[in-house]
Amino acid sequence: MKKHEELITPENIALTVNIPNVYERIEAFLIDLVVLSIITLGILFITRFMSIISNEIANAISMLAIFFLWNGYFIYYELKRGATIGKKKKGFRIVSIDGNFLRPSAIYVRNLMREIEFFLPLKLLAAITAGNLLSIDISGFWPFLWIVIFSFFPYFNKRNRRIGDIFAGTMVISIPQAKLQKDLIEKTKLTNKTAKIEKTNFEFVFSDEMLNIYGKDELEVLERILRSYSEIPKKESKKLFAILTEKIIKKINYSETLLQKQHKNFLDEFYQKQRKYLENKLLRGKSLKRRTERKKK
Amino acid sequence: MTLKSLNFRQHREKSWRELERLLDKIEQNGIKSLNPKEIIRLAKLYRTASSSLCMIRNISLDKNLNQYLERLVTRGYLNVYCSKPPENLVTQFFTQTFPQTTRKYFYYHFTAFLILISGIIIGFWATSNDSLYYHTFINEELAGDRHPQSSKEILEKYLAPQKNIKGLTQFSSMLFTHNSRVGFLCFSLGIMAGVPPIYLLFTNGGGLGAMSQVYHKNGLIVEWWAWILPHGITEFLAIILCAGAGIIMGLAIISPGKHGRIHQLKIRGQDAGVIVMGSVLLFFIAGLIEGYFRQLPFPITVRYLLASSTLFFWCWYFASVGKKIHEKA
Repeated sequence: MKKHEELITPENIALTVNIPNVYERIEAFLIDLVVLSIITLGILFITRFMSIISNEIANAISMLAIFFLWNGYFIYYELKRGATIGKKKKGFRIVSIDGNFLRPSAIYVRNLMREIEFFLPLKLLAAITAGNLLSIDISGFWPFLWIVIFSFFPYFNKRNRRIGDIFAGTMVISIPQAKLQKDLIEKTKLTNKTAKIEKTNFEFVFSDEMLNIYGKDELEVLERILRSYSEIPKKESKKLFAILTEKIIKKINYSETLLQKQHKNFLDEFYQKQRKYLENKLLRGKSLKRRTERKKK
Repeated sequence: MTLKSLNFRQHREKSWRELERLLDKIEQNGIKSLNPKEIIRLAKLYRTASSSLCMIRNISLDKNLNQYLERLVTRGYLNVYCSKPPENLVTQFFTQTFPQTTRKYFYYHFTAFLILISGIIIGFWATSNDSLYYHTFINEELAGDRHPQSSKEILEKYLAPQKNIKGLTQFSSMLFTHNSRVGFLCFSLGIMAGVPPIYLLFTNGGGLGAMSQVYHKNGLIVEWWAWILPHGITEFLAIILCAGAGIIMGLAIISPGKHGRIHQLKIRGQDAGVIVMGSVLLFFIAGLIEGYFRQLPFPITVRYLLASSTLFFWCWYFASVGKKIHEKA
C-alpha cells in the first residue's frame, strides 16, 4: 500500500509519484551511514600515517575532514542531483512539493535539522546505555518525549516527511526504473515486414457481447500474466493458462471447448480483441468497468 | 489488426528511446556532460514525451506503456527543471544570500542579542551580590580552578599566553568544529517554540557575567575582556545568529501568518537555514582567533584593536554587503 502524490509539471501534466515507506527511507539513510563510516575510517587511517610527521596537524586535519564530511556529504549530493548515494541506490529523489526546482536553502535546512532528528537522540541513547543520564544537558522526561516525537515524525504525517522536509518544503519520492516492453499485440502479430500483411485469420471469434463483459482491471491482470509467464516454470504456466482460459470461457459464455495446446493462443487473441474493444470504448468516453460493476449503478 | 495506440507508439517510440539515453547520460555524469545540441534536443524530446503521455493516457490500455511513459516524463521533468544549482553558489551565498537574509530578520537577532546581554548583566550583578550565585551560572568542569575564592594568580594563569604555536592548530580546529555543532544544535532545538535557544543564550550569558565578576573582583577585568573579546565578538555573533534562527523557526510554528503554517514553515525554515550555514564562516573565523591569536602573547592594546576591528567588520558586512536598492536604510 504505497502512498501516492501528484506532481504537476509546468506543462500542466499531473504525474503520479510514489512516496516511499518510512522504513525504506531508513534503509537509504543506513546506506549513507555506512558510506560515511567507511570514509571516516579512511580519514582516520590516513591521518594515523600522517601523525608520524606531525601529530598535531594530523589531528587537526582529521577533525576538520570529519566535520566537513558528515555535514557536507548530504549537502553536496543533494545540490548536485537531489539524491545521496543511499537514495540513489533505492531509486529515491528529493523534490520540492510545489513542483519548482530544489532551492539550495531548502537543502541547507533539511540537513541542519538532522541534528535533533538523529544525532541528538543517538547521543541520548548512548548516554542512557552508558548509564549516566545525568551528565547530559537535556535530562528529564519532556525533552526526551519531544525528541522521540521529532525522530519518529515521518510516521505521523501524510507524505512521510521528516522535520527537515517540513521546514524545507520538500519530500522524498520514489522513481523506479521502468523498462518498455513490446506491445503484446505486436508480439503475437504475424506480420511480414516487407509486405505488411496483417494476421487476418484468427483462430477464435469473439462477439461484441462477449467482449463487453470484462473491464479495464481484468485486462491489466491478463496483460501482467501474459508479460510475465516466462518467469514461472513451464508446468506451472500451463496450469495457469488452463485455469484462466476456463474462467474466461465460463464468464463470457464461449461456446467451443478447447484443447490444452490452444490455451495460450486463446489468451493472446482474447487479449488482442478485448483490448481493441476497450480502447474503442476509451476513445468514445464510455465506462471501462466490468459489466457487473456497471449494472450496480 | 490496427490499433490507434499501436500506430501512435510506433511513430513515437524512437524519440522516447532517445530521451531515455539522454537522461541516462545526465544521471550518470551530470547535465554538463551534454553538448549544446543535445540540450536543445533534450528540451524538445521532453515536450514530445509529455504530449505522448497525455495521448497514451487517453487512447491506450497497455499498462506497461503507460507506466513507462509516466516514469520517463517524471525523470525528464526532474532533470530538466530540478537539477542545477547556480554556478557561483558560494560567492553568491556570501555576497548576497547570507547578508540579505540576516538583515531581513534583524529584529530576531537583536532580541537574541538583548537576551544574551541581559544574561551577562544578571550573571555579573548576581555574583557580585552573593558569590554563591556563581555556581548557578557556571559549569564546574569548565571553570576548573576559577571560582570566587580563587587567588589572583590562579585566575591570571588562565589568561596566560604561550610562546609558540604548538598545539594551536589542533586547538583551533577543535574549537571550530565543536562550536559549529553547538550552533547547529541550538538552532534545531529552536523549533520547540524558540525556548531552548532563549534558555541557552541566557544561561551562557549568565556564565560569562559571573566569571567576569570573579575577574573584576581581583582587578583583572581589563585583561579578562582583552582575552575574551577578540574571538568573543565573532563567536557571540555566530551564536546570536544561530539562536535567532532557532527563534525564527520557533515562532513560525506558533503563528501561522498570512499563508498558512506549512507555507510559513517552508519560508522561515529556508531563511533560517541560510543564516545558520553562514554562521559557520563566523565560527571558523572565531575558531582561528581563539585558537591562535588568543593563545599567543599579544599585548592588551593589540587585542582590543582586533576586537574592535572584528566588531566594525561585521557591522559593515551585515549592514551593507549585498544591499539591494529597495531595502530600507
